[in-house]
Amino acid sequence: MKRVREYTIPIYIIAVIALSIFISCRKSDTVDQYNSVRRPANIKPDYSDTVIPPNIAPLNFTIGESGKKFLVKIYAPNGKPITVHSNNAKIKIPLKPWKRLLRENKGNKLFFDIFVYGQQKGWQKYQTISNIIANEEVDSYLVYRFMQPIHNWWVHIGIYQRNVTNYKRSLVLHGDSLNHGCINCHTFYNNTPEKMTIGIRSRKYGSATLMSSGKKVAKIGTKWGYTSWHPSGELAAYSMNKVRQFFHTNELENRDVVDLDSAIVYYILNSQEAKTVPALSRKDQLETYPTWSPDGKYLYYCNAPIPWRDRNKMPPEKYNEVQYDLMRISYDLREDKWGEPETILSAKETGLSILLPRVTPDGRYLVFSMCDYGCFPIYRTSSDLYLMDLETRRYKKMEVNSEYSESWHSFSANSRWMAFSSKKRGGLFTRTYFAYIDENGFAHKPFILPQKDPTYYDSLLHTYSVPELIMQPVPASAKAFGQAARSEKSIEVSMPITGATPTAQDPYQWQQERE
Amino acid sequence: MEPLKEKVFTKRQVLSLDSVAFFAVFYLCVWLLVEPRLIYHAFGRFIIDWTPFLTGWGFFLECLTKIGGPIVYVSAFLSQCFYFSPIGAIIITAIAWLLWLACMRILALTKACCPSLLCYLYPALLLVGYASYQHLMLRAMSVLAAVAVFVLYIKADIRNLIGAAVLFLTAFAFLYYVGGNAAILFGLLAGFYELTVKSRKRFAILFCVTALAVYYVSTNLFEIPLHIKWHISRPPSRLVTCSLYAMYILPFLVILEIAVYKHVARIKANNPKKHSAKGRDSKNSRVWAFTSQVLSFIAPLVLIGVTLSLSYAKRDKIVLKSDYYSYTKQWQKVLENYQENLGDIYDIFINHDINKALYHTGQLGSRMFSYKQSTEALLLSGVGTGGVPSPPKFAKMIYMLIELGHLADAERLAFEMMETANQSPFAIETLAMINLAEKQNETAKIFLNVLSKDLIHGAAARRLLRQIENDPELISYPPVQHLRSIASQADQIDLSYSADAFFLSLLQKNPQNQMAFEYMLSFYLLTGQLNKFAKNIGRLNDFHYDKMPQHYQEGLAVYISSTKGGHALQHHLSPQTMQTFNRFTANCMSLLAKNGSYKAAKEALKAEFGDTFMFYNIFGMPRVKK
Repeated sequence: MKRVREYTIPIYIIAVIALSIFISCRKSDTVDQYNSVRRPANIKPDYSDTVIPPNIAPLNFTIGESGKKFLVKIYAPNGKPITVHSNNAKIKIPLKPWKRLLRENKGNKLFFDIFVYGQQKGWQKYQTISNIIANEEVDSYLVYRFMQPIHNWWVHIGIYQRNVTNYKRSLVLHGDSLNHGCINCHTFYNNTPEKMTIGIRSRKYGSATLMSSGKKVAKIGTKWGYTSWHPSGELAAYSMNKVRQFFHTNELENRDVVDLDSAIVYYILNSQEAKTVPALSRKDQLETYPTWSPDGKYLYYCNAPIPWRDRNKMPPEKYNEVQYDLMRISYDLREDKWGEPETILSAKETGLSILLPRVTPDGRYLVFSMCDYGCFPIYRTSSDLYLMDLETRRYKKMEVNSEYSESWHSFSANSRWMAFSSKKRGGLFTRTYFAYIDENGFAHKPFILPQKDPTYYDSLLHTYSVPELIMQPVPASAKAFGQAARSEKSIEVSMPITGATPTAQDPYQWQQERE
Repeated sequence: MEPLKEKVFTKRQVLSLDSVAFFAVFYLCVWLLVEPRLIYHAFGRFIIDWTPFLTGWGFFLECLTKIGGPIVYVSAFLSQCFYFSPIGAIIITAIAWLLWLACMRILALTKACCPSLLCYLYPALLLVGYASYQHLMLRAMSVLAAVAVFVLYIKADIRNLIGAAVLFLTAFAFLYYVGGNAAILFGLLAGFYELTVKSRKRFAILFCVTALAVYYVSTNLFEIPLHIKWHISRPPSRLVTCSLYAMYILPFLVILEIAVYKHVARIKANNPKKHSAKGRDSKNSRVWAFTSQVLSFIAPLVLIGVTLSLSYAKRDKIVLKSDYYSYTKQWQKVLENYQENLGDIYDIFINHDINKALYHTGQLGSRMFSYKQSTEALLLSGVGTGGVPSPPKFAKMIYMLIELGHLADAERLAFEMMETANQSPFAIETLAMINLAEKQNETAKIFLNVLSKDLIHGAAARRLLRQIENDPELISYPPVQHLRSIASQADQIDLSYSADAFFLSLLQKNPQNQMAFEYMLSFYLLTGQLNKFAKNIGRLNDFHYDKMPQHYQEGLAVYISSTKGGHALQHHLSPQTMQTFNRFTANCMSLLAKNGSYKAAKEALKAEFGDTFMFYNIFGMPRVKK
């Protein structure tokens, strides 16, 4: 007993000393003495003065100011502030406290106080950065194509889904599954992955469309181009494109694309039948980019007269004079009847080519891109996003644009969030941005998809292409998609010969792998 | 056989004279003959399916989270060391030695009294691959991991099934994570060993079934790629393919050898032979001991010789060396490499390098026809095709296009190379430079940030990033300034690109683009377009030539003679050139008139005129004149 007491006192002393050291070493949540700097700190990515969803993953960033220690305090009117200490410029915000803070402050402002410690200047506090936390959440998943800037050859293309509320990413389908095949546009039904399609091209397995319904994946023996699901889920409209690529030698983006020919058809799920519409497959016109209105009564699309006579010559004559009009055509689902095409906005009026129309799920706005010419806005530096009020038919250039290409937009189910592709960081690599569109159609400052490593984009040689927002993750596995793609079984689709079909003998010539 | 017994069982074998001599010779062969720096240089150019190594946590964690990732990481790191030939040779030798050692340990642990020459086959197989300029690091590491763990398994020598199963499964799981299909190899090895050497069938069945089941489930149900890649430069020869498979089969042969010898030993033990007279036996034993020692010393060295004689890809080495010297701007060595080594063999890539070396040493216009030429070699037919060249052509065309000033075309090919050759540092560096020349600093920084993680090229990339911060216009960075001065401004849609447009657009931007000028004239001479040659020779006045280069004089002489007209620059034709031209013309006509044989005339004239344009113009590709 006496021996125990002998040891007890030293143990207590050691414990007290250790606790004191621990307390003194523990980083303080505040900086008591600092100099104020009358400007905001440079942060990268730029997460300032923007509107963010309440369910977004932490907006990790780097501080572009020189210093030895960094401290960021994140706070809002409600809830516990978050303090992040760092010995380098990378600020990584903890997930759970972040989620809690955002959840408790919907509709409120979110503030960032940034402190930087330098040997000579001590602590410096920069002007507070603020953002607004929206009331509306963004759809939890973003599905996109991930690849390097491809020219003629492709080896590593994959479609991935990213949970935007955290940083988890999973594979939907990789080109390796198709013996280094190409994977084209992925389309979802009403922001859900209950029904989705992916176009594939493979030398070994052919061109086809994979259609998933829940966890099951079927292969349709023809490749769909740009696809849009009818809101009923009973049919999908898609384009057939004879697309060719060529290259310039004096432009920032040296790739260019032309549709030598195109048409729109629609596929009825129950009967597994593809049908054409004369107005959407005229021989002397290029029809593409179909998109349904949310009520399913109209199909919007783009249309341009074909200015060249030779449909095989590359590049065709007057390729740089092709400009598409924005059109729509009415459709009666019950009767399976189509109306007459109607011009919504003409290229003549705008002087630009109108492409990629998408209607917000609430049916209020239509967002499209316009560029100097052609059919592929991502390759046109001049491409910008425009918003049209469908009630007034007035349109305006959106506030999200830059000097580089903006295109490939999609909306969250609540119509408030738009995900789009932009090359604003340098003009070459496409990244995904989010912008909040309020009820008046005003698009707030966009922000880039957040990453766990805030320097991720600084050395990323891949592009994020065709960003699509969905509410739940894709249920079908990558393995199921791969197996379907490699399967010899496919749903054969009989294609009626139309006026747009160049040769009756080989109507699927366009669908072949090296288009 | 008896005298060998002591050697096999002792650890002295590791440092015995024959093994030291063998690996010393092995190292020297790899270092001086194979030259690992050429294999490093081939990454992303000739070897397209390779694994780049990136510093930092990103790549490390990426490897740690993949099946087989750790071996990939180590292999990628060690591959970078090939940049320095002596170090690369050490690494290859070390792997060879470890494989040999593992084999020897298997023999030692099983107390097998059998020749150890089989163990020397491992280094030989590795040498087959590297002497053929294939990169076997990943496969060799995978096999090494499997065999090393197998050695540990034998050493543990657990008798009961449960203990052995636990050990096996632990080792299997470890190898599965670390090396992917290395685990499968280990599983089958262990099963084969149990069956043939230990005669424990239950063990054998358990191990083999486990290995095959895991393989099936992984690859078919979960689609986890277990195959370890090996890096291919060109379609491998049959010998190389066999050697790669032999690396997997060899340990089974060693085990089989052990099993056979143990079986023979058991038979001998049951039927002892009568001894002969003591005196005669001891004399025979000494002779035999001496002979076997000599043989065990010589045989492995002979094995190296035989291996090299069968597998050494001399021509591939010359092509690689030419590319290497061209890339590192050692132009004289490009020419020497050809003259010393190639003889009468023609290679389009070497021809391309030769022409570039001649240009850079100021000899393109005067010595081009001293070398075999083809019309495709100068530009590698990169003009106006719009198609995609084969991987080895990528780097050469990119390099040429950048030097000429066709940055957009170079950029396009660099992207193709980046996509197909797994982020080759050369492609990334090229894209960074092009974007800097085009004042796209933000994009250039992305490429440089990637390059800054490269072990070899990282320092240069970081220096350039700092320079961009201090001098965004890069006014004090001559390479970028030079690119800006020669970059073509014309918009050529590549599918309609003509050779004329290819060159003229460059000269339009910068009339002092000497490379464009000389290549253009060379192109016209090679393709026999003398009208265009004559039309553009006048640009000579834009440069400071002491005198009109020899081949241009010859071309002009041929042109004037064929058109029977004059030319503004005909006063540049020297009397010697005219004499040579006249002599050639007279002799050629005389020979052709005399016996009508084109071939005979060519043979007769090549000694004196083989290095002239006149000869090429009539007879095509000339022989090399030293």
